[in-house]
Amino acid sequence: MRVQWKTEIVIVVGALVALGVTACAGGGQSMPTPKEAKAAAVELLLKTEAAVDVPWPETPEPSAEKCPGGVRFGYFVPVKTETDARSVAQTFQRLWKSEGLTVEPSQKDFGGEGGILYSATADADGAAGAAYQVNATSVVVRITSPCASGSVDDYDE
Amino acid sequence: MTADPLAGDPAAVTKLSRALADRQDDLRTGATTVARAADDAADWEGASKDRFSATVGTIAPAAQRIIGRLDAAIDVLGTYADEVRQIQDEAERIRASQLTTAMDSALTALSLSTAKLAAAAKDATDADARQARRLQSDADDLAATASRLDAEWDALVRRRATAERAASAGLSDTEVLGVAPSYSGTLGRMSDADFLAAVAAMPPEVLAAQDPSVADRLAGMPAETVQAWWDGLGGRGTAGEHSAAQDALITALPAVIGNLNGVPYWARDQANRLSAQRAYAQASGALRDAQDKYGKAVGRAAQAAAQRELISAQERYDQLKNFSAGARTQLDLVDQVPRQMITFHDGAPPLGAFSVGDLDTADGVSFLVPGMGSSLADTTQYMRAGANVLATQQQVGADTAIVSWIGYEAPPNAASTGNLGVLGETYADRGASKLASDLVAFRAVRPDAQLNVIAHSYGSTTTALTLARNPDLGVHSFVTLGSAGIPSSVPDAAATHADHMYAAQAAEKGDIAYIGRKYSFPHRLDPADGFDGVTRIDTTGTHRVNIHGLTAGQGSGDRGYLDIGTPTLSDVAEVTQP
Repeated sequence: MRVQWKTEIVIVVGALVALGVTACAGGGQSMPTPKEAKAAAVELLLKTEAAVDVPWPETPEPSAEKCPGGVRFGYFVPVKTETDARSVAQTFQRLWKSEGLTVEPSQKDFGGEGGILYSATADADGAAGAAYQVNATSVVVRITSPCASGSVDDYDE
Repeated sequence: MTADPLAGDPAAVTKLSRALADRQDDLRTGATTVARAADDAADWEGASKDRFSATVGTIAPAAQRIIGRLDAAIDVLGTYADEVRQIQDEAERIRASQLTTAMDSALTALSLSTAKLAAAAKDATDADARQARRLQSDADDLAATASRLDAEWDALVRRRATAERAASAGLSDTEVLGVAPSYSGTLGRMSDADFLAAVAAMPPEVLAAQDPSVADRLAGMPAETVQAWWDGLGGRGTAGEHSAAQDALITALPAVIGNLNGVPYWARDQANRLSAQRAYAQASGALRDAQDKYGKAVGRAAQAAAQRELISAQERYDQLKNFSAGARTQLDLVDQVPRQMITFHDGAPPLGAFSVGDLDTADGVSFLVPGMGSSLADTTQYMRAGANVLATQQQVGADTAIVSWIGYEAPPNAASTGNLGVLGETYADRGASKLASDLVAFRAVRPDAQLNVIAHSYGSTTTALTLARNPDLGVHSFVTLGSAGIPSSVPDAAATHADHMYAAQAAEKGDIAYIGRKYSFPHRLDPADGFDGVTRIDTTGTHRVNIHGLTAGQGSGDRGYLDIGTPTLSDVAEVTQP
């Protein structure tokens, strides 16, 4: 019994260590610079904003996040506005698909004043990613840059 | 005790007195600068201005009180230095006279002895007899002088003792200390009500100088008692508007007020920010010292010891740095809301909790309980994940707050440390009492609010024990994400006493949660698989969650449990909104 327990412990540690190694791997591809990564994200953001006529705010300063071996930048743009949520969601989907992203939409009925919340995430290997959450009173878009060289510590966390 | 009239250095006492006078000047300058800053902010308006004005308003009176006490101390020290100087001068005169008298007495005694022999000889004359009588008279006079000088010395000893007692009493006086030395003892004998009234009446600098037993007694008060006491000091208050007494307590006892159950969260926030700021400054200094020590270490053993110290200092620095960053880190919110540092314990490891949203007013509050490997170094990461829930609830019009509760020592990351504590229940058991304390405290001040717990990984193990042991918390929804397993002592959802229990379990890369449950000892249950009473949150389909973490970010190709745009996030937001 004791031998079996020890064996299983070794398996567990082995599995967890292997996972840790795997999680740190993947830095072999050449990464864009932070400037290039931000530019890719802003380009997708501006195309997204141009596709839907709502009072978009100024492009915000991005947040910096850790990604495997580097740092990526997130642009979160919320707009409070009355809108046809379903139509807006479909427009975003069409645009992002045309940009080569794989779009995964969903929707949830919150009831009450919240109504139906339309959501989606969109990705493509090595490109900027995107997500939206839209209901009858608000539009939220989040564009995330590709993973860039550097460290999140360089951005004053 | 005998006081030596010649002892001491009055010049040093005078120097100390001058140093105190310099401190007075610094205080006056500081108070003037603060007053000028208040004038400069004349155009500033709003709640923050009110809060600023309330704080500034307490500084000048506090500075004046300290200046007054320094005045009293300077007077006492000045009088003492003058007195010691006079006593020493007198003592030197007496000592010189005693020396002269002693030498004269010795010479006179010798002459007298010779004169007496001459006067007693057969051929003695009348002159010999007169000489002997004169010398005897001189000897008697010198003996009288010596006796008088001895008496003067004794008087001087008494005078010096009196001067020292006067200085000691003067420096211990309430005019200098602002409080009687026996005050802490007096507080200890008071009833709770009198004790609380006395504490509230103390100026901050006096309160801060009290014995630790005062802080301990405050910390041990029931939340209901504290709440009534606090409200009696000028109402519940807000960050912008509150009484000077409340402000004094925050300033004087931040470590106590910051974690004192029954105190409103805005006040705890202000107190904890003070404590965390000091702890971070201390950790920064300790890291510099450790780096310096490591650089200077000679020899293998010394280097190894210095390296361990450096690693420990770096870890603590990282934790406190990230916790402090929670106040300013960028969060993805539809509406910006207050952030509150609702607990902070400067221990090893440091622990704390940061709210996004106002815990004093939000209709619904969710505590996000993290799992394996979490520490204050991850504060902003959990705040960002929590903010995704909050932003979604903001979109549908809910007034909510979410607390990143890093209030327990989580088991270390098994992958990076080899520590298998995550498989046992020890960490959860210890953490459960801490989580219970904070949830009970919340319920005491917010009986009307909806309370939810969102628990990730091993956090669900800790939370399950907490909720099972505290049936009166009134938890609305208990949500588990990638659970490391529910202890078998909590066999079903009903045992958690939550109104609703939900579980999300993805097919995670590396099967982290699965491994945590499979090899747990004692064995733990999967809340997402056959756990009676649980509603499962779907993580499958085209937009499946595929990692153990809460967020992966778009562009990574991966999905965490709380990534924006995912149905899992929508589900969690829905079941935790009022």
